Amino acid sequence: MKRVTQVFRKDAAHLWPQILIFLAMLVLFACEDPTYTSQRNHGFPSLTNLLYLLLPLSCWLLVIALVHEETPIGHNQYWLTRPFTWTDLLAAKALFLLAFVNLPVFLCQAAVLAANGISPAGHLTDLLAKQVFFLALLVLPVAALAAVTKGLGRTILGGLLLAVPLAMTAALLAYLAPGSGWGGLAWIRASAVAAVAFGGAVVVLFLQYTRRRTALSRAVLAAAAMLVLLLWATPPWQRAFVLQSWFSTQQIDPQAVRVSFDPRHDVPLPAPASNLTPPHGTRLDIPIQVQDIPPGIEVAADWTQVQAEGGGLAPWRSGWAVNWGIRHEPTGKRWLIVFVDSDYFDRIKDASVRLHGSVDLTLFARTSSLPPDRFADLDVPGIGPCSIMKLRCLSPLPRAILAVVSGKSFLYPPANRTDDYAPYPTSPWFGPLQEYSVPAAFEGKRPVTDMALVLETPVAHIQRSFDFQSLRLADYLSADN
Amino acid sequence: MRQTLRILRKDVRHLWPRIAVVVFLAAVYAYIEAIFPRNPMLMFAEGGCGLLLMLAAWFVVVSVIHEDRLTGNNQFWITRPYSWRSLLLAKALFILLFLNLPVLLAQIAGLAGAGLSPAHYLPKLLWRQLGFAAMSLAPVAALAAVTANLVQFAMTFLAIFAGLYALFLGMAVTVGTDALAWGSAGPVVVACQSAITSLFGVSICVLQYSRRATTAARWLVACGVVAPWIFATLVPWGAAFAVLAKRSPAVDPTAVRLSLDPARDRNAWPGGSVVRPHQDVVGISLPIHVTGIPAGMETFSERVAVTVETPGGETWSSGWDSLNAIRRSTQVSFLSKQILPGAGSPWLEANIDRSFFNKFSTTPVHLRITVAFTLLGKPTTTRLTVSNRRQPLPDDGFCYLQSNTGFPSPLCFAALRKAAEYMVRLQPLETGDVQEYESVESLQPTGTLNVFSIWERLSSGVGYKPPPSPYAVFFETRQAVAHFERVLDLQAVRLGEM
Repeated sequence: MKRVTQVFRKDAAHLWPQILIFLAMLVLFACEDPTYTSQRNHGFPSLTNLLYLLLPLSCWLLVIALVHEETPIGHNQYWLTRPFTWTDLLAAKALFLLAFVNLPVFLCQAAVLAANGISPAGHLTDLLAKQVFFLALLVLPVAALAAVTKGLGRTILGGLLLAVPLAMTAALLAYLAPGSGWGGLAWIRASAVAAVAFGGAVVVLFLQYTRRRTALSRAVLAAAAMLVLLLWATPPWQRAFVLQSWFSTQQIDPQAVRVSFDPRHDVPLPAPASNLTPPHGTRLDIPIQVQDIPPGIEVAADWTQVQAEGGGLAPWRSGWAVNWGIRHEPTGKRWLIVFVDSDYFDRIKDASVRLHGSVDLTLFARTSSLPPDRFADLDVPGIGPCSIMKLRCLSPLPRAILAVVSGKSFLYPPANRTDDYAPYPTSPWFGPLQEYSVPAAFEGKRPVTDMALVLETPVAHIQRSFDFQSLRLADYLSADN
Repeated sequence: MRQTLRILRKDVRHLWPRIAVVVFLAAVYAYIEAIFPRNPMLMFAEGGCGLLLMLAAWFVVVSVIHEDRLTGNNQFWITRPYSWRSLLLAKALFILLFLNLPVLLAQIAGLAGAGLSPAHYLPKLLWRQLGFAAMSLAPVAALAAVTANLVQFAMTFLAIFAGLYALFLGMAVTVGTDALAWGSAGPVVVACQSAITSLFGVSICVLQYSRRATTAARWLVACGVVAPWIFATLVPWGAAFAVLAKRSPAVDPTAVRLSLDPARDRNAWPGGSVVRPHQDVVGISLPIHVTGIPAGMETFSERVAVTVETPGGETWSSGWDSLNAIRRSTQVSFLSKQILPGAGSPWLEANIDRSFFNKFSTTPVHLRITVAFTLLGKPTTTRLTVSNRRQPLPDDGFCYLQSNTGFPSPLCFAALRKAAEYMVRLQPLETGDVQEYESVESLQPTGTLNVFSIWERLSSGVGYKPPPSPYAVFFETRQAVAHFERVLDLQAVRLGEM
């Protein structure tokens, strides 16, 4: 332990300028984070943008300098001749990271919560979860990269050589497979990505500090990066929904919530459906009804899978796609939105087709209503401080969803469900708060007077199948195509 | 020259992996710009690529300067028969060949790939390269010239940034952030700041290469960091606007006239004056007629200077206060209120020092009001349809009209051209009622880290509440065609009645 503290003290004595710069950046960012200070810092937005870039850079500079104090690469470093064990060295570096990176970030995040009227003690688990993701995604991978490179220049070059192809591939995958996000279940994928990044970095550091096997470590680092990319690009995976269903708090009768074709309404879907990037293909809006919904419950579709058969052609399967499942309009009508391969659609559009598949549903219970006149500034349970004037809420992790209703019908369903079902925050970013928009309904420039904001909480995650016979797909072609 | 080329070849041999990264990133960026220009699905990729390209360019600049380090006394090259001119020329040539040229070629390829004529845009592209070199590369080269290695460079860079940010926070508290909101005069100030920055950058490099006077050069760096911002704080807004007005076409003195509107009750002011909280001021307002605006054009009310003269010879002047302007009360957006289309009932809003106001509120005074205007030209209007596809705009532009949670949101761009103002009109086809959403865009320049894109943003991309379907969406832009001042002289008026 004595040697650990000696190395720790030596590192702190050598790296105090890096520590000081990182702490200065952190404090500046805490004071100026546009998430909660957008009214104050509009005078110099370009500097704030630059701060977004330089804060992680200052953190990485500190991490890289720490690792390079006793570089594991080569055979003629001074520390190889000293009576250090690799455990001493690694423990000293870990202690340094905890003391000068994790702890300041944690304290800063707690201070920001307190300054915004949110109790840090009440969100201790959220703050700790953020530390885990911060360590796994922003600190340890950089430490691993520094451990397999010699000198800051080579680390930067190595980072660029690693980041550029990965970023290009990620962008290409996002372009080629739009709509393959995970929606409210994205936290499961984010957790898997963080676990792989953490594991990969730990293996690299272990290999370098125990055996100084640089070539092997570099291969492990590249493999871990590839695995992270593959996980990030993984399309919706049914096992994740099964995992999510374990978090259900309410039992739903298997006979309840049934999806069937609604032959009575043939009105086309009036508004463009979503701001999400649509998947490729021809969009169909199939009128449906969802029956036997338990009272006080609202239904939202997470993922859907559709199979089309007919016209003497081979069946076509959609694969699981996110959040384009069921659209609910204020009139009470619902549509199942399906993206069919355009070539397949052209060949089958006038034939009699059987459309069947499954839909993963999340059921929301309406917990309370908040009339807008009482809602100028309010601490919303499950979310945090909200302001209807600024149309936003601040929260480390919302555990409820705000929706706008007029009477009994939805005016605007919640727009962003990305973090809706997460039990802990998955963002590795330095800021502890995220801004969530309060949905607002306007007629021209004035708010709708009879609207109410309601709080909804996810209570169950269920899967239902549907089977629609003898459809002529051309009748359901969306105007959005 | 032979020595210069030798040093250049040595640098290329040492730094080719770093050059390769820059060239690769520039090529990818050009491909995205040409084939998927500002595609919302590739926004992240395009922004990320631009950011990496900028970081890689800085990395290469620092690397090439540090190849033959200038600080210290025991570098190998000091013992060789190098002339400092050869060394400096080799470094400048390296930056020109491996940073400026790839970026220029990428932009040319981007334009050509998008079906536009690079030759037509060549002057603008060369001007941009000058800006890139002066604002992005020269300061980095200067900082690299006074640091010994990459770590020292990075630490100094971050420390400078933190200090600068703290300075701005101090300024925001003492003079208010609006002191740095230059509006139309922004390009003049930014051009001067760029000139100052590049002048310091070049001077530091020359000083270091010729004498290796590191201490003096470091002091120059400190001055070079602060000088552009001191300039921006000290230069009067009126002087910057005067330069702008002098360079713009003359406006017929009979066009755009100011007069008091006697028909409106001065007490019927709808409210909304902006009072700076940390100054002890009283807001006054006057019903104003702005007449003679050329047909089809609009004016944008910039700042207003108010001078009050009392019969006893005492004078008070507001200067070009950023919160004084002529505003329409019918608009929601703060800046949109200052767009004056000719029709409507605008109000002149200004702040007067409270003690002066209290002293002379009932005394007849001479009020001289000078208003700075920008004349916005005739509109270019395009009808859009809600679709994920790219829709063309006149003059090499395009729009994506997407749905933002059911709200149509036009996201429009043009090649190397901005618009001063844009307007979105949503018109239900059945009733014909028009909802107008007007916004001032480039009169308020915002900083960006990405200097590589050939596409300038014309609209903010916010969503607008749609009228009942079916409806049409029209996108309208205007360019600033002139900048000028007009004076309203009011004799024997009482401040207390305003």
